[in-house]
Amino acid sequence: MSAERVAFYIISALILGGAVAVLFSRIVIRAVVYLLVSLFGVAALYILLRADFLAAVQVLVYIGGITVLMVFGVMLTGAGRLDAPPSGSWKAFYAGVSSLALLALLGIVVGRTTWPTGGILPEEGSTSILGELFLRQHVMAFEVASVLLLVVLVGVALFIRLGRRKVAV
Amino acid sequence: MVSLTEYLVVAALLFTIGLLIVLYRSNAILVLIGIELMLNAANINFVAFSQALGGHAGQVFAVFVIVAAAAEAAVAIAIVVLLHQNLGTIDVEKARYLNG
Repeated sequence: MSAERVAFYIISALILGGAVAVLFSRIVIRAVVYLLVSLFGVAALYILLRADFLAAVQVLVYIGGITVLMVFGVMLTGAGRLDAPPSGSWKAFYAGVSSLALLALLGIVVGRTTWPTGGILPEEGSTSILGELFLRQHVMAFEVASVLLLVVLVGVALFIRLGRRKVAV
Repeated sequence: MVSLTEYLVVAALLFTIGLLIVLYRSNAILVLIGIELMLNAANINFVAFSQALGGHAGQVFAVFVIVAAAAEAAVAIAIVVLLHQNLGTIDVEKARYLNG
């Protein structure tokens, strides 16, 4: 068993363990910490896949941005207290059945298809190649993404202001 | 070397757990966490395919998915905070009358 395979199994256990811990955690702020573990695992998986730029973006945006945003959300809504999963068994039953059906479907698709086994591993880092792709081939999508971020920034600020005024009235 | 199929299996399991969180938990922030896990599963698939096919287009797409996920998280947290201000709870089961 090669070192890469051992690392893959450890990282996969970290990702899936973090996700399962989110599912069963009773305190919301702990669920955010478990999400952090899972996201770190995904970043490690990117490194294993030789996507070093994406791993850095994952750590910066997801772990540095979205997780902190969620902690803010928990603090602002006072949701850090006990949050028991619903005791209604029908909801758990339906959720479990539909998720297992999806898992079975995905398993069949993954198992039956013959996937390409090329695996050409580039020796150099992917950052310079990705930079070239962003500014040559995909420059339009790059600009659209920046406009999207601007619209979201202004829109969220406006949204919060309008919603608060409605509460005051 | 780890094959493409193993990455796809891990991503499928992660997607299923994310879906289960979205369907089972009723706290709005936990639902958001489930959505983030599902997006991450899709991203693992993109990068694994990109590596298996020897190109970089999948990684470019994964970066755009991360941008969309960040935008979505900002909007969703704003909605959750407003929901808490208006209803006093962020239980998605109780937010049934949202038509203004």
